[in-house]
Amino acid sequence: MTRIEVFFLTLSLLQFIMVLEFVRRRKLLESFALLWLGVGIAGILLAVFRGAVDDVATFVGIAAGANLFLGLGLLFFLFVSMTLSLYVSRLEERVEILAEEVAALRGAAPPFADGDQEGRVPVP
Amino acid sequence: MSDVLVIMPALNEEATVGDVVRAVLAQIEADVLVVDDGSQDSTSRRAREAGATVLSHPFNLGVGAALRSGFRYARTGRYKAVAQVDADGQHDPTDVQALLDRLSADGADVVIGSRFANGYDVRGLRRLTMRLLSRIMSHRLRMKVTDTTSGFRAFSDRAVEVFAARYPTAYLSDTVEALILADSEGLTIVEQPVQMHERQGGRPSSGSVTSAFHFVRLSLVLALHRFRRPRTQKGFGHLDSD
Repeated sequence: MTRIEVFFLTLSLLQFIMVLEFVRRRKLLESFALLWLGVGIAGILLAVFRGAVDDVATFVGIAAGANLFLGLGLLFFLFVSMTLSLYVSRLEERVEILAEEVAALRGAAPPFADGDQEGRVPVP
Repeated sequence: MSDVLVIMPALNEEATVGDVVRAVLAQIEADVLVVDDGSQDSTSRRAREAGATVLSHPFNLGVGAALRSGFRYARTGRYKAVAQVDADGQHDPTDVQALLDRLSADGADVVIGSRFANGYDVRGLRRLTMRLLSRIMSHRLRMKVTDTTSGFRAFSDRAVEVFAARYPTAYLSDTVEALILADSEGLTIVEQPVQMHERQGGRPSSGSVTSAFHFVRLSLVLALHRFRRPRTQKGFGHLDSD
């Protein structure tokens, strides 16, 4: 094993363990965890079978394995950020609906005892 | 106000919810709570007209979240026993009492109404998944569980206490992971055979790709369960009046 292979293997293993730890502490939704665990496993496989990347690149007609890797990596992160944008958009819409619902409830009910004069509850 | 609460999660079930509520009220002495999980139709109105109390989610959150809202309501109202019944008419209201009876008769905390004991069957991939889940869960719970994903259940007040704060809401987790949580909290689980009708309205909850994804997700949950910190509800506790 070359030094660079050991480096990438360590990095991928660390990332894999970090994701599991986030799940253990319930900081990360399990659905997202699956995505990043997949990335971790792909990283580990790439580190171990580095030669296979060049073989696949030659097979699909790309000159260097590194180009194939970077190209696919770019596409993957494009996909991930688009998915997250969709997710954030949905959250934004839900926050608006929730705020409107809370406003309606405040109009109908007396404010919380621990709120200020406008009935605002301090955000933790 | 009764000692028993029947929770009915409902999403776009205007065709059936009224009849199901009336059927349950005719069968047993209980309050009925319909949790409208962001329906686009007149589910809430039909349920209210039939004599149910209705909680309405401002948008769709899934069956698990609807149930958790129900458990919170049950905890606040100090109900002694809770039954979960589908609003689409698949569950027979005459079976509800049998589920509730097992709570007191066996000292059980969670009673699972099993569809498979009375000849109901499903086909294909769904059947394979359910068999597999049954094997895994029977092993984990050290008892025979034939129907791990049943949405026809009864709960004791002890179970309500645990679930009101920590019920898992993701698809499949809301049925399967909930049993693991109940077991690790020392709650007693039993199974009771029930009848299963063809659904009178509505549509199945999930496609096969989504199901497969959630099955993988559930595997991760089951593998990690004993190592994980308990789910907490920071900032929610003060909203529950108790």
